[in-house]
Amino acid sequence: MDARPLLTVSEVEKAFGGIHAVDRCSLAVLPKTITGLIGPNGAGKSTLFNIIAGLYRPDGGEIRFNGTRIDGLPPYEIVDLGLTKTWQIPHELRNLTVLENVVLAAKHNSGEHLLNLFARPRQVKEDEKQWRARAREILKLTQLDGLANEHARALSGGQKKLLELSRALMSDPTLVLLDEPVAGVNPALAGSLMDLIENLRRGGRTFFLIEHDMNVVMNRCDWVIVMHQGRRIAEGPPESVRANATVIESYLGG
Amino acid sequence: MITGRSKMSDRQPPTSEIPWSGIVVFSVIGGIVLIGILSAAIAGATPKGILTNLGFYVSIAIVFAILALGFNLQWGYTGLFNAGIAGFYLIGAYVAAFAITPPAPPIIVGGVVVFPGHLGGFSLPLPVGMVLAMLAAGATAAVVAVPALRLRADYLAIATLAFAVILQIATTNLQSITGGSIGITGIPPPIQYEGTDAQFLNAMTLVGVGALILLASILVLQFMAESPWGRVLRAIREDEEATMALGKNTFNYKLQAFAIGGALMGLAGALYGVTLGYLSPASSFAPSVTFSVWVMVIVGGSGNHRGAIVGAFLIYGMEWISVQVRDQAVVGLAANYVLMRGVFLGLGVDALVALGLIFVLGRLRPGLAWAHPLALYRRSAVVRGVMLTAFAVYGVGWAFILVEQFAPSAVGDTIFYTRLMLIGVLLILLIVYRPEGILRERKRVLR
Amino acid sequence: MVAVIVIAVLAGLAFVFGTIILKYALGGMVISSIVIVAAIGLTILYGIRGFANFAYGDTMTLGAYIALVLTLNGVSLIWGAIASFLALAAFGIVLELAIFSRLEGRGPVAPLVASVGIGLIIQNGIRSVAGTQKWLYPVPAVQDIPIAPGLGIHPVRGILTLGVGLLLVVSSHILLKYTNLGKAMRATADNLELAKATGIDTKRVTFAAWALSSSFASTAGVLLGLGSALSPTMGFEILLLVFAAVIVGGIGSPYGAMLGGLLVGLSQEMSVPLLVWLERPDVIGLQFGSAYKVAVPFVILILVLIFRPWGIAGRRPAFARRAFFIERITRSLGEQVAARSKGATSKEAIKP
Repeated sequence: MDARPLLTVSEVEKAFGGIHAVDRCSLAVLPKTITGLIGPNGAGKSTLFNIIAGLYRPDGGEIRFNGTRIDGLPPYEIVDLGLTKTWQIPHELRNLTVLENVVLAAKHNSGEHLLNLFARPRQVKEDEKQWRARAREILKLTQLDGLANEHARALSGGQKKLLELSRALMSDPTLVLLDEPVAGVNPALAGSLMDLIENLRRGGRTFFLIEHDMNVVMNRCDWVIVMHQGRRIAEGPPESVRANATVIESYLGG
Repeated sequence: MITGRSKMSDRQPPTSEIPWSGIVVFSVIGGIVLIGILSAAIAGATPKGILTNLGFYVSIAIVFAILALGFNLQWGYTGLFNAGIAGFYLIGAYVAAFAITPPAPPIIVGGVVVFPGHLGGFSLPLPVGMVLAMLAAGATAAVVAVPALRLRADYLAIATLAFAVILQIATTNLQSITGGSIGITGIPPPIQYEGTDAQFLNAMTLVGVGALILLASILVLQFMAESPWGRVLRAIREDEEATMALGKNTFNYKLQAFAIGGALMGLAGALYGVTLGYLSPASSFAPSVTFSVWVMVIVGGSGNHRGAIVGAFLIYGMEWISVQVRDQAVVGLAANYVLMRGVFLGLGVDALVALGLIFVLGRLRPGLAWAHPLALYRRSAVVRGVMLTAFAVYGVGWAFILVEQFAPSAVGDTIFYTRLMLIGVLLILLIVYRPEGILRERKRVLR
Repeated sequence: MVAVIVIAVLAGLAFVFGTIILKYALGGMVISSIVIVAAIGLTILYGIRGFANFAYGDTMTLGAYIALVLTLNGVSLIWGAIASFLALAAFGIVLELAIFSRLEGRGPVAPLVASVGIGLIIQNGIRSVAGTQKWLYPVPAVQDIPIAPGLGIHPVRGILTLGVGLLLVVSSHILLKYTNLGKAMRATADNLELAKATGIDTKRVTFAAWALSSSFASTAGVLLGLGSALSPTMGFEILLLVFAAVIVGGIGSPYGAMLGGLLVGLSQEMSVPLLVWLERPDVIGLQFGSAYKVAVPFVILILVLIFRPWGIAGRRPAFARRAFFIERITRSLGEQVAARSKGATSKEAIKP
């Protein structure tokens, strides 16, 4: 494994009206790993993800991705750099089809720029065809290809999670932040999903995931970071974290 | 930041085989046209005169339709509630007027400024004027959008309303530039006709030009809406935050949509100036114009091009009708009072007889359930609606006749204001019971 | 405390520019009184019901006309105004029952549109009944009462308006601060869910808000009619000004509304000397400069919306996130400022 961290979070703070959701949190994620982020409810995990992805601006601290400073950047620039995030509660675009949902995640679709529609119509057509094909490939991977033309609101909860993952993969990311990717998904599908993620990891991508399902964490993660009350309290390989007294206490005490 | 889902798009419109709502809407518009023709005929107009009149209706309705399309892009597609439509409309109208009118220096008679003159007088051809109008309005919209787009929907409404009002004040007071409250007169029509048929030919040309522009606008808008760019806009309307997380610079898209909507409104303004032949800031660019366009788009169903256009024809039709009836039918009514009363009486008697026959038939032949009006009434909402409407119209007709007899001038103006009150009622009813509008949005499926 | 600041500023200006300033200041105060009364009503409704009531101006007009009808039938203006006050309170409650209760939970746009509809109905209903000509309240014509050389105040337009304005401000202050209903209203305006959770009868509060809002509107309308003439559009013409006051002061805050109203009214009137100066050919040669005075509060409104949308008395919402480029600009500016003032930073880490 590469020793230099892909993502570093340094002393990041975020308070909402007096409540410190993230409290001087520092952690690092190594490339080509599946790193888990666990902790009791309210530990600040999803908030941290939102901050990393650029949806919230931290009150303090620094975040670096591949050496570039990304805190304070708007989400679209962060996605451009190769970092995407899925939502814990799926934010599917309800009145668009599944295929449209995924195609939207493509990073450089010339047809999405107004001038290109009139100046380069042929390239627009080409790009669109290419991205639609790619979207279908990804939907096949996440086993949603049969639903490609359904409106996203018709999906079940688990399928919406799969849609989130499909969208995250579409933008060809280097690092994917997964917020509870298999919650609500049936175990067989969850298993093949994690297999997919492991494959992708072997292909060079990095995954940083929040999960409450301890099977997934223990069996699939290379490294686990534990958060409690807005900061990192422990980290290490899964077995060591499981036995860590501080961690157990945090889950019991909350 | 505007986050969260659009509540309007969540409503599932019930599917129905027969587009009753479409039939009702189009028959209302047909009825408007019919009444317009009748009023003119009663007042003794020639066929050409009637057509000129109708041509005016269609031309102005097209202007409003383009306004509605612009607002539709801003609100229906991107969720930006613009209350300053009148402002962009004004800019387009005046810029076009500046470009295409001949020079108009100030007229000073005996030391008193009779006509303050206005900027422009470049006498450029019409298409150039229209392009300039679109550029000016679009650029203004872009500038306004930069601070305004971050605002919540109601703040945006207030800010844009303030913008439109300031613009109206400035226009009325910058006399030497805009001609002040007198406005700009003598805007040249597309083709200068001579002779007795000039007005008629002019009206027809205007209809033709307007229809072409409307068609072009629809085609371009449709093309843009179904493109990947349009897809991003729809995504923003659904859930802006999610779209941001997908890597789209949502601010830019909203800015573009707002600017294009503004450009369309400018185009409408240019067309308006040419159709009317003059511009005056007080009445034509007041906030009530903005509110009327809202009604048009809501009636037609937001996000729906067809709906916006139909809404425009419908709502402007109501205005046009009220003017026609006030100017012409009332006069005819007064002159033919006895005749009209006889006609209504006859109609009423006939309807009663017909209903009676059907009732008796229903009793004698119970198998013919459809012939029994009461059963039909109970079963079908449409029949209920139709019968109630017919009854109401009949009553209104009688009301007119009676009022006309006792207070001859009261009918005229009241119709005018009643029309506006009706728009208010319509607005409330629609927003409470049927915000998705009367015509439905066609579902788009990407294959 | 605010009054002290205002008077100090005015005194200073008067010293510099001459007592003519006071004439405009006085005019501004009179307008401010009307706007403050209207703004208190509007902001309470905005805070509790959560939408911009675009019918508010026409509600003011309605109140003015109801009083007019009564005065034309021999009732004195005072009783007419009181009757109008009560009638409009009932009207507001009816509106909530009939229409706005059905629009709960639909966001801020739906009730806004409905209120536009209501405004249209009121305005045109008045037009068709009373006609478009201007009416006047039967008030005896009186001379201005002189205060200082070149400075007078009209007993009805000036003193009465200021007095009524003050009366209503004080009574709303008492209502909101010392009565249970007032406290309940403030709590609901602050946080609807929390208020419901603590057992406050938000239905009653909502009705109270509508009643108060509409009756204040009626008084503002009557005062407006006293100052000028009555016309069907009188309320709508002043609507944006009232919105400006409400937003500048902070939506939902009656005290903010008072400050906002003061700022808006004064800025409008006191900009006149500046605008007149701009009319001079050697400056810009602006035509009809004083007609632009109505634009001044709107400019303030737009500036507030850009830089501080929650107003003077409002609170910055927790998830506020401004447009990225403004953020970039402010961030780089902030960094420059921070680099320059390397001194006290309060964030000293206490290592666990």
